[in-house]
Amino acid sequence: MSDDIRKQYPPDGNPRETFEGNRFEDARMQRVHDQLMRERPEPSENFAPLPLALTVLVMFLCVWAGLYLAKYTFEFDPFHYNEDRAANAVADEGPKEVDMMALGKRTFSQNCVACHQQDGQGQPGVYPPLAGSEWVQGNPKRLIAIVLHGLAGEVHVNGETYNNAMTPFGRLRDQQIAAVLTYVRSTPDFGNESDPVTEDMVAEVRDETSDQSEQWSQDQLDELYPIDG
Amino acid sequence: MSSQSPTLLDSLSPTAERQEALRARLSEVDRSMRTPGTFFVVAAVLWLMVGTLFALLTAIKFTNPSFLGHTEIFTFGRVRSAHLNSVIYGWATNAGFAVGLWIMARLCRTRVRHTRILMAGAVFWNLGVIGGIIGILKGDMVAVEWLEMPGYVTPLLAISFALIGVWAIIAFRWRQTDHVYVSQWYILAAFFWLPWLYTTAQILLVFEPAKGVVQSLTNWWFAHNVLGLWLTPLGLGTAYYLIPKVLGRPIYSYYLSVYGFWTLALFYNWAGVHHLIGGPVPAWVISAGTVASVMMVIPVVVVAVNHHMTVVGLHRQGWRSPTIRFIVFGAINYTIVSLIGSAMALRDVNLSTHFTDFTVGHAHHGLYAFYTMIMFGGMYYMLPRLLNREWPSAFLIKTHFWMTALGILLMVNVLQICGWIVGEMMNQVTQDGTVAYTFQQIVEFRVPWHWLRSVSGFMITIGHFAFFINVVWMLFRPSKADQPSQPTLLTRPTAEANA
Repeated sequence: MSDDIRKQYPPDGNPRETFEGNRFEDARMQRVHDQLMRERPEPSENFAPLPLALTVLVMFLCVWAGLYLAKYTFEFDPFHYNEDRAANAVADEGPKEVDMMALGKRTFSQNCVACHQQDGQGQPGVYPPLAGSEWVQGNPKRLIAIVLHGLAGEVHVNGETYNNAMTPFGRLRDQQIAAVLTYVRSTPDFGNESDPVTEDMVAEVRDETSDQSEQWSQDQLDELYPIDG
Repeated sequence: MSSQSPTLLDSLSPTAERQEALRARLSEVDRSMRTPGTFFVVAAVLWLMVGTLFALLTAIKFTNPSFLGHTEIFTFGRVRSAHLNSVIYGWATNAGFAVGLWIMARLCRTRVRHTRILMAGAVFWNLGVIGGIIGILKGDMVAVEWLEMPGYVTPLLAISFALIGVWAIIAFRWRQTDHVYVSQWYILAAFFWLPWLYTTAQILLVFEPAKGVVQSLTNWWFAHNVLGLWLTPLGLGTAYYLIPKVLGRPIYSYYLSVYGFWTLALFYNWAGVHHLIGGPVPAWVISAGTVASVMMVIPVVVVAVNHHMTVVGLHRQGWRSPTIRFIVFGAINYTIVSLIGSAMALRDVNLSTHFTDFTVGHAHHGLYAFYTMIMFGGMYYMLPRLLNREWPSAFLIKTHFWMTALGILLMVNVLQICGWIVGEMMNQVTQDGTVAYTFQQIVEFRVPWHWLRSVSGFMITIGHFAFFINVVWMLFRPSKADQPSQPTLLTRPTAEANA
């Protein structure tokens, strides 16, 4: 084995290489270097030219990229979000109309439905109904006040007595409160047919009752906002 | 080509070394990497096992949500993030350190000096990852995907990365060769790109959070680029080194190598934005991301051609070598996963794939079928040379290959087919404008698919155990200096053997 190595790697004048070459003769060293000796040479590269088909593919991609960017960059407008819409179409639309019934229905199902139920019937003896209720179809300000600050203690609705508590929803925006009350007062799901509630009315009551820190009692409400007031 | 004949380039270069001296120097390089390289491999393999365990737990929770659901630290949100972080920062990064630094040192023909500093970096990096995983399980998670590790470990990770990464740069700076080989570009670039990504993302998301959508842009820029600018270059650099090395044939074209590298550098770092298609981000940013993702076809096809033309005709020899078997599997999947990724960046395709298992399948395709398989291949080649031992069992290597290869193919197919169908279900609208399928129906549809996914995960786990046993067995085996040495091959060699 060592003779083979010598033949393969005859020592030349370079002292370092001669030293390395001598080390290769040691039998144990050779076994240590078995792995290295059977390795192929370190990697290198040939210089084949780029395939023509690849160049064509790259050209095609560049053209596509140019067309795409020309169509969908909208002059780098930072306020243009929708790729499907042309640049100036957004400005022409003006402020978007809010569907109060849709917003109201959504607000209702996120906040009210757990107690008052999908059909607005409440739960007998526990939560008063909204459908057909004289409270709901009466003075809208009374209704706004209840949503803003909640309600506690004994209440009488449609001749039934309920004793429970309703949490305040003052955290909702004026628009959401107006929408949910408009929905509750006029949705055919409940059979109610009263006038809509506007954002201004909500803002007004919010302002008037800003000192109220607790949930209302029925007596307080009857005094401030009577049902047929 | 005989293994000793010099290549054209060697014969032209005035500093070309004779094989004998070169091999002696490679032996010195291997010796100097012995301790840190082995440490990184062992740490990586341990993290792989930990990550696999978290992965199995997560997968089972999709079909049995209550499984271990009553213990706080094993709830879905924590286990999933623990899986992600242990495989990315534990397994993939440690494996990349091991193989990347070793290839860099070999190609630069420079020993790694002062390995104690490197070892200190290695130990602190792993302590940092351990701290991060414990932090995630404890509930200190940062609510940013891919950056979940709590703020008290991230500076440690950054400093240890600097201590480790600097060795790639030192090796390159004092390289003993004229020609810079393509693997060196990829690995050097990766060691510059990750600190750039990591510090920018940490500052813009955690320490000095940017306002509004810039956060989500930074988040996906970072997350996509950990794969694209850190793991991908390490994987490609490894494939570029080991394919010609094991097969003894030069890389097909230097020009293609250059072309592939620079187009990757140019396009990849834009691509992450396509995760935000449909989001409230300026349309031109998304368009730029889409274009860059599609332009990624260029580096991918270039690398595919370059690798294919190098391997072509040597398939039987490749099939015999554990290294090449894993690396060719990874390289083929790199092509497939990248082309799928380019397609996913198109708005019309994204409309179906977004928010479904398709994306999850894609992530595993890239990280496992491409990167992890290539790293397995790299370890099969590197570890015998660091330890001066041979792999104890060809059977375990075969088990490892078949279980992981079939497992990951099953997983990717299951997740992507299921994801596509779910995407179509979610987009379907009835005539009166309401959704055609309820959330509940879609969840129920996914259950059998997720059973299959758990099966695929179980197969991969078996493969990992085979690998783990082989590594441990090798570590505690006597050094081969006193025994005859034969490479561990997967089929009977017909010609000159090569591991």
